[in-house]
Amino acid sequence: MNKNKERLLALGLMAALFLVGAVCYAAFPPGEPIRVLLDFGGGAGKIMFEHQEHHADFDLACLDCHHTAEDETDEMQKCGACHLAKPSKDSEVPSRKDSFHAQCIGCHEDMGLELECTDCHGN
Amino acid sequence: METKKKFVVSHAPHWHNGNRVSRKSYNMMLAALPAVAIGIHQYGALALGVVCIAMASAMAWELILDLLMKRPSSIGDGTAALTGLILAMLMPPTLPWWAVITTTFVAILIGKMIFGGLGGNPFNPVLVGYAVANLSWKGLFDFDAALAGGYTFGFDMAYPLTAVKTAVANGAGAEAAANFSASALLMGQQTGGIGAIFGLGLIIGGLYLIIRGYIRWEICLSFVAGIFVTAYLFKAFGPEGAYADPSFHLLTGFTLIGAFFLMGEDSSTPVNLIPMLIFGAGAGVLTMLMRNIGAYADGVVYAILLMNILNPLLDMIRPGALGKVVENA
Repeated sequence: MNKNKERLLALGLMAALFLVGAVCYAAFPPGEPIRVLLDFGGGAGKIMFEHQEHHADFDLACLDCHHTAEDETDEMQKCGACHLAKPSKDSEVPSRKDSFHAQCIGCHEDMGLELECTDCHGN
Repeated sequence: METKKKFVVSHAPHWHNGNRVSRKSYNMMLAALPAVAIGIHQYGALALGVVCIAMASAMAWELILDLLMKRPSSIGDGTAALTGLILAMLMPPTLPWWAVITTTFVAILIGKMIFGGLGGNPFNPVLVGYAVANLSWKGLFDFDAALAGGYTFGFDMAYPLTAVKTAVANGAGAEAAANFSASALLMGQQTGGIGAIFGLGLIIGGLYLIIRGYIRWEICLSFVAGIFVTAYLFKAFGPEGAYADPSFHLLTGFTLIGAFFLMGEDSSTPVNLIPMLIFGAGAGVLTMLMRNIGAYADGVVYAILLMNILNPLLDMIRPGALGKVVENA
């Protein structure tokens, strides 16, 4: 195979790969997550949050947690979009750690379940 | 009179045997195919998207950078496509497209082109791209986080090296590693990079490359031996049950892809026997030190990069020149 044929082959391959790759990315956008790994770099350990299980098996509505979605019918916001790891001092939005603790512990307590740290962290 | 000729070197012109750089590139891609195919089978169309975009963008960057640097186009030699493919093999299938094309950009520009293109690079371009991207977007390259959202498999979905790393800190590495059987790891029943999960496929591909002479067995074998011996020493002389078996370390993470595909890069690896053995074994020992007592779950990428730095020094260990100098002749 001479140099020109090599180059033609490479250019053809590149175009085909771009096409297939673009179709794959466009046709399969990320959907509702099955699980979410919460890793805020704290010492208590990561948390594997069973998102689909809470949503489907425990019969929770999306809006129970994604509380800003009432005005935004098209897209759910990720928690970390507003609840920052280190919010500015005058911010009224609770930090990521505080809001997750309030949401998870609060909801479980409402159902009469007491949580230990290791029930969520580090498993 | 002795007429038997022992060694003949003819005058120019010589006859080119037809071998080209592109042949090695396409053969390496062929060897990677079984592992990539199983990865795409396991992770689906998302993985296919990452592989295609990584290969295509690496080739596009090479084309564009050759034009900008006013150099002859080198896209035909297939090394850019190979760089893209091996990078994709190390990536999780959920990596966004912008992260994929940025990674290939760093690999092609900083890994290769600024050193003058193929043959001038002191580091493996794949490793440069991966290391920079991995340090920049740790969360995107975390296999546990990346796969949690969209996948459910019928086997333990924890990334084996991270699970064992966490357990080693508690002195229970052997127990954690026992959850992953060698046969499951060989057959791709583990989470990890798109092309790094199917151990058997990587071994078959590697053996093909060694038999065809595209990679040097001395480097591959000494790397594997370095990992095996160091892991064995940790296991034998460390606290009881604290460290995982050598076989676990051989079949998880980037060990096999490192041995056969990352070590197969020409310009960043030594050429003589002793330096090759030191290079491979050193990378193996460093990998295990990082895995067992270092900060990273998998040290293959950084271990090989560190040995790349040593490469020019290692190349100074070489046979003496033929002939002799006669004083006062």
